[in-house]
Amino acid sequence: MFRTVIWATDASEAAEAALPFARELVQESGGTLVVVYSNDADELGLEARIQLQVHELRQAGIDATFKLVGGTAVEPAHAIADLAIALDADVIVVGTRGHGPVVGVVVGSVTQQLLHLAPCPVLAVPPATRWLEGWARTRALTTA
Amino acid sequence: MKRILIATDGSPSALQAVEFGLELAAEQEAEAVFVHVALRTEVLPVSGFAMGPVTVPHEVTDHDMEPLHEAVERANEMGLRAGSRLLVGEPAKKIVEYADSIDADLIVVGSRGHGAISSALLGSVSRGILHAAKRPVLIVRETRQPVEAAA
Repeated sequence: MFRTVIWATDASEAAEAALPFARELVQESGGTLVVVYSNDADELGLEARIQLQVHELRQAGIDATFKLVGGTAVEPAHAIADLAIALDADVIVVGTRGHGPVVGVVVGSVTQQLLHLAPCPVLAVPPATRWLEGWARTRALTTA
Repeated sequence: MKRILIATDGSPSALQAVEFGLELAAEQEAEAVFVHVALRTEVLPVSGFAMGPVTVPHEVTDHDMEPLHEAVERANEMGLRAGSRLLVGEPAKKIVEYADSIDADLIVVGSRGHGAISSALLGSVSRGILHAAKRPVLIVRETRQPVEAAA
């Protein structure tokens, strides 16, 4: 069901908390993890950090790709939703900070927009979520 | 995933959540549990003079069970086992508490429910669940078309 999984990250702790869930959905489906970072001014060097993360995911055997979207004229939610439409994504995974899901520099409103714009379901992972190994239980692989 | 909690109030948005949640349960070979929350009290319209609205305790009726019956029926059609539970009280709070009590791996909700203002981007119950939950919440968009049975 989740062949194309988008993980929206801004390298925050909240976004990081959602990664294991995105990762497991992809591992189970044998699909693709699209790591999307949306920012207009990459002052903190977050893009490089996220790129490295994508590299590590690939090394771990995950079919992961990196996408930088947005820009000064585009709101993060729009950019992420547009990507989801273009990729025919099955789910967008985001972290939350307890006061609303976060997918960029703005708290709350971005997700409100994303939930309105997204062409697919959105998996919101709260920060206090306890990660359980085998959350999406991997079944015997019947496809090679 | 072993257990997927699916919230439904019978609204079109909730029915999308039911469909998606059941597809997911089938794929994960997980147990689906439906939950619906009836309000503890209801406000009666009062036409008499010098009287404010009257709040009375809500009595659980078949009407309250209907969204759950529909959902379980749908699950059975798909050959899935599903449980259901009617709760009473503040919806978001009750759903989150119940999810904790059954240790649900995931809460599936529609983006809107009954009574949501149409211009609202996210129903108040869905938003409340998002804020209170300590486990992943899958928000299913209302506009999503049910997936056709495919290979």
